[in-house]
Amino acid sequence: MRYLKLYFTYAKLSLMSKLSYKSNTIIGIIAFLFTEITSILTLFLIVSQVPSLDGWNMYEIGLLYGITNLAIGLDHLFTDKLWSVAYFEVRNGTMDSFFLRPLPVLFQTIACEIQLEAFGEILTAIFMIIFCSMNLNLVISFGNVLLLVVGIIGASLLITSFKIIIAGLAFVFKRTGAYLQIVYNFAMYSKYPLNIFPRIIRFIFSFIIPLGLCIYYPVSNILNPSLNPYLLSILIIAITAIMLCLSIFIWTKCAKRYESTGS
Amino acid sequence: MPLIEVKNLSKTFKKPIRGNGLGSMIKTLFSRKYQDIEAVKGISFNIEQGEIVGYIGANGAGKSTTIKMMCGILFPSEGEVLINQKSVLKHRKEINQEIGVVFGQKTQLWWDIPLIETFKILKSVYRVSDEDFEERFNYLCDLLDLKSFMNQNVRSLSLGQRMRADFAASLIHNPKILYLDEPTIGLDVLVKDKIRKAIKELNRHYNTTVILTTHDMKDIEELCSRIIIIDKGKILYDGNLESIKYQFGNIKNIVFPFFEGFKEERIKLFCEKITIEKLENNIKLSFSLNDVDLDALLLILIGEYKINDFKIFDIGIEEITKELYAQNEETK
Repeated sequence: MRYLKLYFTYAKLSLMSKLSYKSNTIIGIIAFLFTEITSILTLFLIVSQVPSLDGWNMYEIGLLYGITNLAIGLDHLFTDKLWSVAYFEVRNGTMDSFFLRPLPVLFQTIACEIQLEAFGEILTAIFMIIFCSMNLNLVISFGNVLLLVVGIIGASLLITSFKIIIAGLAFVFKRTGAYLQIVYNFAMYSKYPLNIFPRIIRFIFSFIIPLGLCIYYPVSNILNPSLNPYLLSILIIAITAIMLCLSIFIWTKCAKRYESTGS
Repeated sequence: MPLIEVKNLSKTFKKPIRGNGLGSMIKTLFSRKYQDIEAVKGISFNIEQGEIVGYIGANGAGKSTTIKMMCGILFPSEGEVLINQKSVLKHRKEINQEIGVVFGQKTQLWWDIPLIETFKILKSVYRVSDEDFEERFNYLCDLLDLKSFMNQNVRSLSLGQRMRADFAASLIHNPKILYLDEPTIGLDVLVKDKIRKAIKELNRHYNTTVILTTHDMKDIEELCSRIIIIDKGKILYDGNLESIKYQFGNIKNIVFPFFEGFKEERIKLFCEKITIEKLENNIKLSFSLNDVDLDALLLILIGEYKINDFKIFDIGIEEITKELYAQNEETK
């Protein structure tokens, strides 16, 4: 409860700082909006040239894409500071003040920034989801919708866990930004139907970086129910919880090794 | 029972050895050799509640490294720091409640928002009660004259204002220990004075223990009852200021421009123990007041040589360190 209150105070201050550079923030959102729109147009352009991609039509792919992007956008909105931890903060020794306050370092890292640019992703994602849903015959049931919501939140938290692990390793290795970039870019592939990939990538997305589990199967299920949504929801919650705990554990262990700079 | 115990603390930084040129840079990609740089080598000391300790040494002596290990933001290679008999690394959150830190080079204030917001958030971070906050906030505002820029953005504060604000922010939770790493760096005389007064006043009012590093001799003379001198990662001296001043404080330097007709022999004739150094266009005389009568020397300089442009100053901390170091080498 205390942390929730503190989170809102931190978030308020972050928004206040963001709003003191209004044009910069707005341009950031617009930039992300443009990136997203162009990549969606490219996707539609390619998909419209083929009748179907491994049984997925244009709108189905659009829905999958939108839902993945919503998960990515949510993570982007709340945990963007982890990028700069992996790239600069540890190396430049600028995390000193986090280590000097009587609060968990991870809490402060996440609470200190709300990245409004993420609305570029979130807005296009919501638009895509609505637009594609209207052109599809979705099997809407309580279980399927629940599964989808659990899947989106789960996928978002999974991305966050991987970011926490790799950013946490920066406490030991000083700079892990490039590795974070690799994993993040790889995670971007989960925007596409899992079946089009070779078996090894399918395996990775189902078990190692289980984003496919959180997004691909729930979306397939709402298009064409074949799995028990409740069981799958429980599986997703369990896996996400385990990954989150693991990431916090690794972060805490690594953070003990934090070295400020010499001067 | 001491408040702070520093036990056999060491820090070795690993620095990769790199050659010059592209060829050797590619080579280091595959096999990398490290050179160990020992910044701090096994130092130990205790500090009691209410002490003001000056931690001094030349640049690169290991001051900041030690302070950072004492705050728990630098992982020591060996040894440990205990505060209230608790390890600073293992009980980070608990210890942070008890310490306040000001680094002259880095700010801890929220950069883009009005200063007052920083204080409000610190209040909830440290769980300061309303009455305590009110009392301390007003006290610190008066002590450091913060009222006039409380609603300004931190970004727009001058260095002097920012330092005062940083200083107040580190004290809002009434810490038992205050670490100050070069708190007066780059400040003008008036602000320096204000900060010194505030440190003294706090120590008196709340019995706050203060550990400060500085290059400013005046900081030390006005504030510290005890000094620890460190050089090349080792403690050279740990004790009160009076005795080290007695040992070295009597040394004076006189510097004046070189002129035609100046004879070293004349000065040597007056007293053998004066060292004469030629620095570019200046002459520097160093001597101890124990050996030389300053009035008589000045009489020679002014009376015989008609010098009207000269400076007299005390031995600086760098020179004391040098002397101590030389003495240490001799006794080995």
